Amino acid sequence: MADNPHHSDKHRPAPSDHLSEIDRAAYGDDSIHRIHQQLGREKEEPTEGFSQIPIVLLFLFGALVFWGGIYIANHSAEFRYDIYDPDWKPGFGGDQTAAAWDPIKKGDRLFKNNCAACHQAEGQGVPGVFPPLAGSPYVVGSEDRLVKILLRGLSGPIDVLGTEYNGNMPSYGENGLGWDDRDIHAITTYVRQAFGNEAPPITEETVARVRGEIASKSTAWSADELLSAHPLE
Amino acid sequence: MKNLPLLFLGIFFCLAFSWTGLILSSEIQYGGLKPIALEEGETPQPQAIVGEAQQGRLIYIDQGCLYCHSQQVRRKGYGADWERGWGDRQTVPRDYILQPRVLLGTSRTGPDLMTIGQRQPSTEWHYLHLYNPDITSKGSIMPPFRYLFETREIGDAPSPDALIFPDDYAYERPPAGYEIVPTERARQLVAYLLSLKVDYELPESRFAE
Amino acid sequence: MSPLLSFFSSIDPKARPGIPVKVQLSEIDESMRTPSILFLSAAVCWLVIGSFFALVASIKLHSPDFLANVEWLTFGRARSAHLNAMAFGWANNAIFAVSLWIMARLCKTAVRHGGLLIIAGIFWNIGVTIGVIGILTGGLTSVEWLEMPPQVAPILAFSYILIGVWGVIAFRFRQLGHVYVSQWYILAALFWFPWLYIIAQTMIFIEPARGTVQAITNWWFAHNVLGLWFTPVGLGAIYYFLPKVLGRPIYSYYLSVLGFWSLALFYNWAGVHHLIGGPIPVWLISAGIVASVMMVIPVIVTAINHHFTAVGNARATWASPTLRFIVFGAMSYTLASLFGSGMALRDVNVVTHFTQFTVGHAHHGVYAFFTMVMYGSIYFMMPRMLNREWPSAALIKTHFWCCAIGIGIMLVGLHVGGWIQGMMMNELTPDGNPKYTFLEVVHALVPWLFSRSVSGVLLTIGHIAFFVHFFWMLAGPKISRYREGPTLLLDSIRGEGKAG
Repeated sequence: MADNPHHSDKHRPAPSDHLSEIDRAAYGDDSIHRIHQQLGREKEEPTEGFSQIPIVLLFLFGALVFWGGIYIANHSAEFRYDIYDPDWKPGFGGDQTAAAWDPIKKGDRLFKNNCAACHQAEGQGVPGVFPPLAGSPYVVGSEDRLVKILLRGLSGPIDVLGTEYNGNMPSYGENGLGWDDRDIHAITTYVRQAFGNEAPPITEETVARVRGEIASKSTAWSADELLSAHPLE
Repeated sequence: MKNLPLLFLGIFFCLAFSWTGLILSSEIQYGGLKPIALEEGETPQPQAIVGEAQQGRLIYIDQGCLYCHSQQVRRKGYGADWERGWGDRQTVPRDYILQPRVLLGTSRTGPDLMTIGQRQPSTEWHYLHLYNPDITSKGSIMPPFRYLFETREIGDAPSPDALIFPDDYAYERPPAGYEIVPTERARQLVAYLLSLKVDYELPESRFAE
Repeated sequence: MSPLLSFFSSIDPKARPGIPVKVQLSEIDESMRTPSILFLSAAVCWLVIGSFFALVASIKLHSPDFLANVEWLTFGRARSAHLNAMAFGWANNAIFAVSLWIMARLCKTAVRHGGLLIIAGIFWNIGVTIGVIGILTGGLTSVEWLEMPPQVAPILAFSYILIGVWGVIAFRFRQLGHVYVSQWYILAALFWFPWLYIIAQTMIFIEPARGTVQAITNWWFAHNVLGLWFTPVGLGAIYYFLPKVLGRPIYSYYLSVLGFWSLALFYNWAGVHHLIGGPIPVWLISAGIVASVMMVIPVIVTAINHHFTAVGNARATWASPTLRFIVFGAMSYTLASLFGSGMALRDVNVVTHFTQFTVGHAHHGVYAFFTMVMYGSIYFMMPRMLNREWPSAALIKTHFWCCAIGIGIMLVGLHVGGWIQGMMMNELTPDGNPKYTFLEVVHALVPWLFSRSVSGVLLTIGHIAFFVHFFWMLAGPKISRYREGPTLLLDSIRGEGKAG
């Protein structure tokens, strides 16, 4: 098409003539007509007008840039790499007021985040897989036995409220997740008083004492081991 | 526009500006961070994961877990990460320096996993959950990863890591004489998940209470 | 003459001065014909393949047992295959065709040596195919927007360079002193994309940066694929087709200049807003937030410029397939960008971050804006390229309505569902515990995820209509011979000489 004699022979430089020229060419030959029908109806290539930018817009953008500068100045923590709080100011020490310690509140948080996935939100467990805590003698019975389970974990077959389980409870003591006495105190107290359980709290001192007594043991308990030391009530 | 050198320079410098400002300056500012001990004599933190967990990270990557699970904890007071128990403190750049590929994630269709090894240390739970998330988390929309497990004939004795299903399990169980056990890949993946912990403090990020 | 010199003279199109503009355009269309058809055919195929993966991923998110035992279609892989098929298969092929064609036309230079372009195009598509198969079979990298195994990066980079360079060559040998706004955008995009891609590949895979510098590089790249690659090409196309089809000049050159430079300056800092609250220094995040908010400037400017160009031509706009899609896209650009600026604010982001809101926003930009503009461009290009009309106005209408309603449902579903998800995640009881468990949040989200699958079905129908129509037009001169005028979407306007 580039060498089509229609165009190279008869071109005229004046832009106003282009359309009519193509149209005229098109009338001569049906195939040429088809080739050019889109181009023939096509508008000129785009151009730009020169309307002014509304002045209001420029003020608006100026204000926006100003805000940006202020924001960076206030929320950049002096461009330090080790600050992650946008409201940090030099000499800012953070909120130092500690909330009052409440073992039930703390235990509630620990339980939801660490235990509920297996033992379920209401402590009912999953029959055959994860034993229940609600009403379980292992929870509301001997304090030492419960603390020992937390501190070393429990492995192998166990009968809880008439159902057989065979699993592994992870350790939260030194050979496991390493919780401190206060957290063990909170979680044990919580499970003994939640889900309808009504057993007395386990103190931090009890936890510390039991931790000392079993210091030499490094593996998980079996149910038999526990029951020979602390028979079910 | 007729000033073409300006156009070319502008195109070049705009991108060069952001690359310098965002990437190069952060590389210079904290690209060289090292593990650090809070007190003398303690183990410098963080520590690199090793062994099976390292293999598990590759499974985590090629299965695309990142597209639903983030690995970052926001500071207490911004979002509910702390309240949900996803971490005791905000995670900071130093926590990630030993990871060959940083898997921060930008979606929480599933929960954050930065501290899943602390929150959920039970291997069995993870196997059951991977095999069929509905068993452990009723109504979960996580895909079941049954293809990371195999059904095989029980040998002399059931294997210790064979799945134990709940008594009221409604789905198909293995036929009698067969058991479902995790494959190598499932074991590696769970080892990786169990290795995800933020149980140490850093000078720039202390546990919030 | 040295070989190098003769090469340069061979790519100089040596347009004969004085040849009528429209004849030159016709020559240019002719020279771009084979490469453009190749790119567009590949693009349309990827569009349908990508829709398939999208549907699978979307259904899996509310019915996790769907195809659960097929490892290569697990959610993480299916959604990544979807993203890469769409971004590198559909979007990039469409960009190659549309941007090079607009560039060649505005520069009045025909493309010589189109064979090189075709070979590069074939290699690009081989690269994407290997990449997508790689994702499905275990090579997924879990780096967002760079999921394809890094081994395909060299194929993509080299074939890109052989493709992108034709835009630069066309620009180098342009026939006019004045450079039109679409040319700025496309020229800039052609430079920006390889730079972004090569740096991201290097700093994430070849010589990985340490720690979260990787994450910053990742989001600098991923957001800029949208901001400095899809967006400029999309805007360049709007700036070309809007005045072209309406036959009116762009409202204001000054607004074009302000819009272009403010976009170039601010957009590429904005990507950090994907890491708000994350483990990077707070000053980087604040810089990203400010840049994101500053994006209001180019967006408003562009919106005004487009609005005053098109205003008063509602009927012509509605009748022309090109403009119907392009105006939809231009309006979505304004809306999506303003949403994006809002989402970058810390108080909003604390809700929307990590939720489906972000997913909705991504589709707002990439689909409702960019993809719709590409559809419009293709509706204009194909008749010029093939000297043939679109065979069926009904199929165009099907395509438009399925896509417009489909993306509308998706945007409402994901934005509303995502917002609910974010609010439920953060809400605390008076004693400081989360009000809803994680599973309760998931359960509340599921109906919204389901609405996304509904929208996905609609979109797929639209894509199939487009696919059928495209190849119908390509295959059959006999079929479209009897159509004389342009294929318009309003009957009454036909014959008034409006360009399709």
